[in-house]
Amino acid sequence: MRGYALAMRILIVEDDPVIGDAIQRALVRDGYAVDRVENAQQAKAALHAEGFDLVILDIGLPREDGLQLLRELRRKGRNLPVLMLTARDGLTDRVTALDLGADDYLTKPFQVLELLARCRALLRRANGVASTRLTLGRLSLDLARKEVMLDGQGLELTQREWSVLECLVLNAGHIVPKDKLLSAVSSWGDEISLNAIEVYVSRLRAKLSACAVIHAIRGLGYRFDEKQD
Amino acid sequence: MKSRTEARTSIRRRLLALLIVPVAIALLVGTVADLVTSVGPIREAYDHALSDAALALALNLQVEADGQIKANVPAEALNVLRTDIADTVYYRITAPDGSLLAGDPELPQAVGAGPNPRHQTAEYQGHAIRSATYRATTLAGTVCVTVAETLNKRGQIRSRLWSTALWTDLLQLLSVLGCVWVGVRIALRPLQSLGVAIAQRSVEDLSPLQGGTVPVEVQNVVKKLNELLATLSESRQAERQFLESAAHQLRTPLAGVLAQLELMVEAEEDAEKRQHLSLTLAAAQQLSHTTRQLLSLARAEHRAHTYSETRLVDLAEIAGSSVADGVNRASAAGVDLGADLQPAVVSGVAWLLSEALGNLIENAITYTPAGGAVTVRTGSEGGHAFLEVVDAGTGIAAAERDAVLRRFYRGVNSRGIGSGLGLAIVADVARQHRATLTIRAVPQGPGTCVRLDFLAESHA
Repeated sequence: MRGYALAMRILIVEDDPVIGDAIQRALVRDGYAVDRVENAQQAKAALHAEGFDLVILDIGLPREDGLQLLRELRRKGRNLPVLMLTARDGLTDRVTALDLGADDYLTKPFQVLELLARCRALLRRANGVASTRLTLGRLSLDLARKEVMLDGQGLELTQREWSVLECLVLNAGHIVPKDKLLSAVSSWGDEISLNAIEVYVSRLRAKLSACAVIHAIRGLGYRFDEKQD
Repeated sequence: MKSRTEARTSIRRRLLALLIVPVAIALLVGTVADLVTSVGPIREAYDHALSDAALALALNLQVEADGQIKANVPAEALNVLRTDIADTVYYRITAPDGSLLAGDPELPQAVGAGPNPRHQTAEYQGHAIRSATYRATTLAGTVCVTVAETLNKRGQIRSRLWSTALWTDLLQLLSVLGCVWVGVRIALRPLQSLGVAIAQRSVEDLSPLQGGTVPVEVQNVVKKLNELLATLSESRQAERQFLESAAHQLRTPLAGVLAQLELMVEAEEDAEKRQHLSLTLAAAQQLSHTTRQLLSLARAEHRAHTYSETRLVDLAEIAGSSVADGVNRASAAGVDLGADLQPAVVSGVAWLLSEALGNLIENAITYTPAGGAVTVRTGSEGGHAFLEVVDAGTGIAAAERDAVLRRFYRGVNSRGIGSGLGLAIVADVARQHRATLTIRAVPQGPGTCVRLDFLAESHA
């Protein structure tokens, strides 16, 4: 539906059928190939057989919990991205999960849109490292040739606009401080004021209004998000 | 006032008070008894000397052939008698017919029956005197020989005895006091070390106290304390488990309902059905929100639950991610969200502080009209860390500022899907971190500033 070039394979390990079903349907709708299992045993079998790009792993599984499974996975040297889900609160689980090598963490109940965004970010990070092409929904960036495509159509950007966009997109979903943008742009030589950054950002907003939102957070910086429809 | 309470509650002081008064009385009574019993022998000794003198004079009586009695008082004997250092000595020798044979004519003389020699106390020349009268039987009849002395020597020895007795008494009293003081201290030492052991325990530590070195009298207290600790530990454990299961049992079905509803809303083509589903989703979201807040509140309430999670945390860092979490909401509400984050390190529980900040930011965005600004600030002022969230909202009336901190209280101008728990959570988190919570109006124009000032503490 959102037009990903490759069908990414995602494994859902979740014992609650209602949640599992919802996640599965949302991911399938977005064009992923999805398998769903309900316990650690089945998960191990699936992971052994198939090549998955991402695992969505619930911590509260019967018998062997998600943290144990994660620990075993990482011990075997499997470094595919893992997104943990939990119904427990507090920081302990979160810290443990991240220490064990989880890539991200969501507390139940969560918004499906949020889950999808996190999955996209994880997949992008895992694959983006190797490739020079970045895809965010309808937007596509070729980092090598410094080209931007919106729905397959080339978009005209100045060099500075490109630098700002590249910096924002590489940190999509995270706040980028203004001075980081400034140093990205200043590599072109001239002295540039912080006010100029605002000008570039507002120009980018106008050009990308169909597919992206650039939030300004006063005092902290800017954040690039895909537009949710 | 304070010292009186201490005196009443200090076992050491009570023991000292209870012991010292009777000991002092006993010592005093003993001394007085000693003095009283020593008076008799002393008097007897001096009286005996007087008797000796009287006898010596009587030995020198001579009865002449004519029946005349002659009292030969040798000069040396008189010298000895008169040269007493302390006392004046008098004597009087009276013939059987009552006429004076020698000595002082006016000296009172105890005549008549009774012991021989006979002693008496009388007055002579304005002084009290003690006399011994010996009735010597001669051929010519009974001659009375009286020797008397003033009471200076006796008085001196009595006062010397008194002062010696008082000094020894006082010395004894002091040494008994010292012994009792030291003894009580030593005896109470196990009690003191028990107190120290209890004081040094962390709030979290509910393991039984070691009763080995404690005296038998306190063993019972330790036993009861340990029973109490065990009960407390069990109930705390049960409470923790209950909260954890409650959280899990509430969140899991909620997550399922929310996720399914979300998908249904998106997939629904029919506008009317979509509207119904959206309303259901909104209600479910509110339920989820309230559940989350209730669970946070339940956990935040128990300091013991969070004790182990206390670390040094930078408020700026926590605020940074809380602000990032609020960006979408602010953007949807057309609110300009901003931050001014300076380092502010406190000893605290990160997820609780984050929960409090999340609630503050959410409130601020909810009550700020589109186009208004919400600013989160952290930093240090006068040596202590603070965080504040300033909004441009409708404000909280001064009269309502205490009420809004109560659970489920919803202000007169309440908006949105709030549960009335947000500020109650903030108040609880503030209390746990010993931070002062202040709500005040923004000086110029509308808006509210909610601020937490953290105690400047030594990061233990």
